[in-house]
Amino acid sequence: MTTERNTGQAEDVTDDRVSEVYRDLAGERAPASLNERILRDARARAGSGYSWWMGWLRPAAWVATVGLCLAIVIELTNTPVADIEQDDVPAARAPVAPGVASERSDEQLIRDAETSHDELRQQQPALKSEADGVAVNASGLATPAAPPRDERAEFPGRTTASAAEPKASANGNFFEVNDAPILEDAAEMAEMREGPGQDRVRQNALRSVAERADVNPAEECDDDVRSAPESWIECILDIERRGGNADDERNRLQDAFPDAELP
Amino acid sequence: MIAVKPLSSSTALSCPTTVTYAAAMETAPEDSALMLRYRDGDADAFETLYRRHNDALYRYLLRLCRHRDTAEDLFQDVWGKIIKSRDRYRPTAKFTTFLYRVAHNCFIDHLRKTKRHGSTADIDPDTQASAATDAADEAERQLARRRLEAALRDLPDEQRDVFLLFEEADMSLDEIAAVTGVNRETAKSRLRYAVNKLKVAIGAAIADSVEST
Repeated sequence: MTTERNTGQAEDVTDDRVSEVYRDLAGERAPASLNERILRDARARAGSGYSWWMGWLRPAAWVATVGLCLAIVIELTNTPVADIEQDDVPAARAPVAPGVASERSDEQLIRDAETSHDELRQQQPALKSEADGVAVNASGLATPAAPPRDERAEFPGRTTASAAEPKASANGNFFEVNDAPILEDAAEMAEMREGPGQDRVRQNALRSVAERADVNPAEECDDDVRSAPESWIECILDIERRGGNADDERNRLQDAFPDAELP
Repeated sequence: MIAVKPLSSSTALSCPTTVTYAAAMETAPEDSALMLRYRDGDADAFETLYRRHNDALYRYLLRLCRHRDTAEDLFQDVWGKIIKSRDRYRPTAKFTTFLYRVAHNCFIDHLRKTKRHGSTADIDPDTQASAATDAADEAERQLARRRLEAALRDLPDEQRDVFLLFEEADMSLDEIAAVTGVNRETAKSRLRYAVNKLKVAIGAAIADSVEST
């Protein structure tokens, strides 16, 4: 007899008698030892490998990646602009072809130059008149006293010692430039305004100072000379022989060596 | 020729919606749910699943291999693969389809390795025979079992495979086709041939019994 088992798909295929005999025949069971071995293996592996939290590994990795990207973006967004521009200034001062500097670098340089120029005007207004006096002295109309060295050391516009004290070689003599800080700042401002590569402006300014200083003998003595009263006195006499004003050096000599005999 | 299917369980299967015996086996909790629980570390779920299918799978392999030791080896191999592949298990098909496909592939792999198509069986069908009250009935049953056992042994592997899947795993033709890697009509044809041969063998046994009586 043919039966319809298993959803009717096997109709006219199976036979009840065959199935009955087979069921009677097939009474074997899996060996207990085999069952025990397999179940023991399954239990041993149950704790290893996959666990509930492993399903969250991929989402967690995505969240961590997105969070890291957001943190970087926020960090870059919150970085002060001033810090970035400050880092850019040296690069802007680097020698590049004129007109190549970026617009922002130009603006920053002009702003810095104006700031230093204003400070120069506000804090040392008399320095310009002294510089003018130096020029007049060079033309022989007057002989103003040179500003003390200490005062110039406190000049806020000075940046570098080498630029503040340019010494030009003229006629084999070294001359100390009194208005060097002003000219140095002027040259620096010119460099800033007109961009790098304008060293020629600076050199011209310094050359003019040197030319003016060429006819203006130094009115100060070197520190080496001041180390001994004899050499210091000799220096003072030398200044006076050249027509300079050595009063300041005399006062200093008195302060340093009160027992020295003044000429 | 028996086709070999990959071990993956992700193949979409067109399972019937009204499976009588199999549906009863799949109820509360379902095999797939038990397997997923085992994947998540629940060893008790696997034991429930194992107790539900171990004997049928053992008989399937025993009749298919016709050799007890080989059947036990394959039985252990099949469950070992089920255990190892628990992380990749996806309930896209019935668990029984997945289980017997693994078993089918293990058997095919075994055939390729050993080339033992003509090996002799060592199964003694009488060892598991149920008790019979009537001597005549008992003689008839024993004769029928021996005839069925001999006819089953003489079936081609493809037909025996289909018949065992139908009897032991209670699979539909579609599921059998999915496990064996053939289409539904081929599976149905193989099953028909197998049943007819077994029916003839049993009929002959019954006729012999009547004649002897």
